[in-house]
Amino acid sequence: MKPVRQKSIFVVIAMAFFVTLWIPEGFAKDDEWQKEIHIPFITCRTGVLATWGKIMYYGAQIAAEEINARGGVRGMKLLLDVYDDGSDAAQSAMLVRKVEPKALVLFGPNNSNTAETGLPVANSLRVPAVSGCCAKTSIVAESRPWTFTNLMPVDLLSIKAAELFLKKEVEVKTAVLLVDKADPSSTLQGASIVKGLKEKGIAIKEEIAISQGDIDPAPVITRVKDLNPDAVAISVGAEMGGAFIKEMERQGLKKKILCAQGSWTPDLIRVAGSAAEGIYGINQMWPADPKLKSLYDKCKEKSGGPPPNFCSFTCYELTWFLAQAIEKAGITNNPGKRREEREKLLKVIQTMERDGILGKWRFREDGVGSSQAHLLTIKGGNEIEVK
Amino acid sequence: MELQYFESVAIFTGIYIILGWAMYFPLSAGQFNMGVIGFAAIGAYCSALCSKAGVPFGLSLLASAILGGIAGFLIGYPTLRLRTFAIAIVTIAFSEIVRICAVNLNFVGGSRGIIHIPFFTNVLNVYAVILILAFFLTRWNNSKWGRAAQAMKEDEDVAESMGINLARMKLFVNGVCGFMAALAGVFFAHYTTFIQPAHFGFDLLMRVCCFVFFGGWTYFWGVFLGVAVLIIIPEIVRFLDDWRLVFYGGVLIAILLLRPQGLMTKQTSEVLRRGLKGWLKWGREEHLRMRNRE
Repeated sequence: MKPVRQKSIFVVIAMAFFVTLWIPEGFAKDDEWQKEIHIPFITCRTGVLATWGKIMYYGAQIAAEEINARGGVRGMKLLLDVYDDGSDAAQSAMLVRKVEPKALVLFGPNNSNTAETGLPVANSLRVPAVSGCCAKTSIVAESRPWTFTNLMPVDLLSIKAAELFLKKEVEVKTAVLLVDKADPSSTLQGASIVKGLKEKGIAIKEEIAISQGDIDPAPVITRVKDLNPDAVAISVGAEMGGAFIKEMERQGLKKKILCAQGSWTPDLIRVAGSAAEGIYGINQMWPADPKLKSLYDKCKEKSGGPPPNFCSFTCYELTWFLAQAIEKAGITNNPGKRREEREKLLKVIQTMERDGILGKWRFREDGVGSSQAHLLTIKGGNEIEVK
Repeated sequence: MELQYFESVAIFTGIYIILGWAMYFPLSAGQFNMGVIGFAAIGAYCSALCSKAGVPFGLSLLASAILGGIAGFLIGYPTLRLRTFAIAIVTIAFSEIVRICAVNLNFVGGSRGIIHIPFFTNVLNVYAVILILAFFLTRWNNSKWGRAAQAMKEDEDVAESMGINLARMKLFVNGVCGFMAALAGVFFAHYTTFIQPAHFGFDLLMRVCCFVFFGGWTYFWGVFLGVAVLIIIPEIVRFLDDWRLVFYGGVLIAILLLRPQGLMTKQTSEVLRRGLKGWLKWGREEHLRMRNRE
């Protein structure tokens, strides 16, 4: 390329870059505060957790549309402004600082790893922050009083899973755990399931550490066959979990299988195929619940194919909760009264009870939403609740 | 309150500048040391454990940086006989070993990492360290050791025949690389207050490589410019939503096609300096002319 043309292209790129400096950022102009309430929705739209982040947003979006169809909140439209934290903890903390000045309340960061840095920042800046998918223990409990999550901590959920599983499968006396030690969430859930099983007198023969990059599940399943436990607990990525279950069927290994919440997704069931019949999993709600069918279908339509996961529903529920709380607190959305209105909203969030798709629930003193746990199984290719 | 956001951007820019300089330093001596992430992880974990045990921040900063330097020095030994990409492979493997050790060791929190690290990093201490490192790098480039490193980069055999001790030079640059990267790791840990092995993975290495090669890997101010531009662009183009990373990638490709040597080289900075001098001189003459007219 000739030097002159090279220089020209360079100049054009530099000018385009500087033009972008003048393009206004997302938030509403100050005089629109009477018509619209903007809530920053911080989620992972890029990075390793992009799939989760996008799908959970659809639930929140559907709720916002329903709220606005009914006339909005106190006559004002409720708008969710999406911010991408790139599945990165550092970016999450930066984003919270960026959006906080104009925010009445923050929706997110909506993932345990990004919430680990983002929620403490929100707490230090004294802005209410609710997370729809923060299940790591003690994040909100140690960022009081401004942060909340309506997801039960995974350790408590996993212990509950073990308890419900053993009530159903009383003949189980020994178990083996398959766990992805490189993933913090899988490690925590696996350790909690083991704790729950041990408390009920179940002997854990071995905890087999899996690596996310493992392509061939056969050696692991051969090891499990050799150990011959009554049950196998799985706390790995969903697709890997499905591969292990399929391999167990291929090797003729018929055992009771319990999947941790992080593994129990539509991807596991899809990959496991017919081998998923009769396996158990735990969830705080399950997307295939007939009561939630219409919301499930709407989410699937919005996503253009991928089915929703439980976080889509928690975000849907949280959006309605926030709308109700803003209504109850008598928020005017006046930027001049931001600090005062945050305090009012906080008091309402701490005490309000909602009767929604999760049943009746409210936030406890530790900031976690009280919620139920369902033991689920696969029958005829469908997820059903085990009573 | 928006000041907090700008402060946040400035701090992360500073941390990446230090990491970028840690990668640049051995590159300036022809050593493709890609182990900066491993050294940063060592610095971060060491300082986190020290701070949680009550050690003052300054002391834990120094101790962690020295530990990083020692690790750099030690990794220099097996790579003494290696050249270019072989060094890169060995040092990348080292970073992975550090990360996997962190995943499997319970006393550093395993895959869950370390939480509640005391908050100590601020703009002042990050940029104070940057100033010190900039001073060191300027003096290094103009010193006999800097010129020896440059000679080593051009041709190791000729440099050795001129009496340069290659082994000592390589160990030194690797040690300084480890020292600087560990400093960045310490600041990172004490700003986010939470670290886990996933923070020190291959994607961070790729990001640092982008900063260095985009900004100019032959001149340390180029790294400074590369970091500043590549940190700021994604923040400015947030309105593009999911397409902002496509824009980011496009800018990266465009610049690397047009200027493979990076945005800033020593020659470019000389031209800019002369231009600025000339402009100032012209400004002074204009000012005098106007005064004389009056």
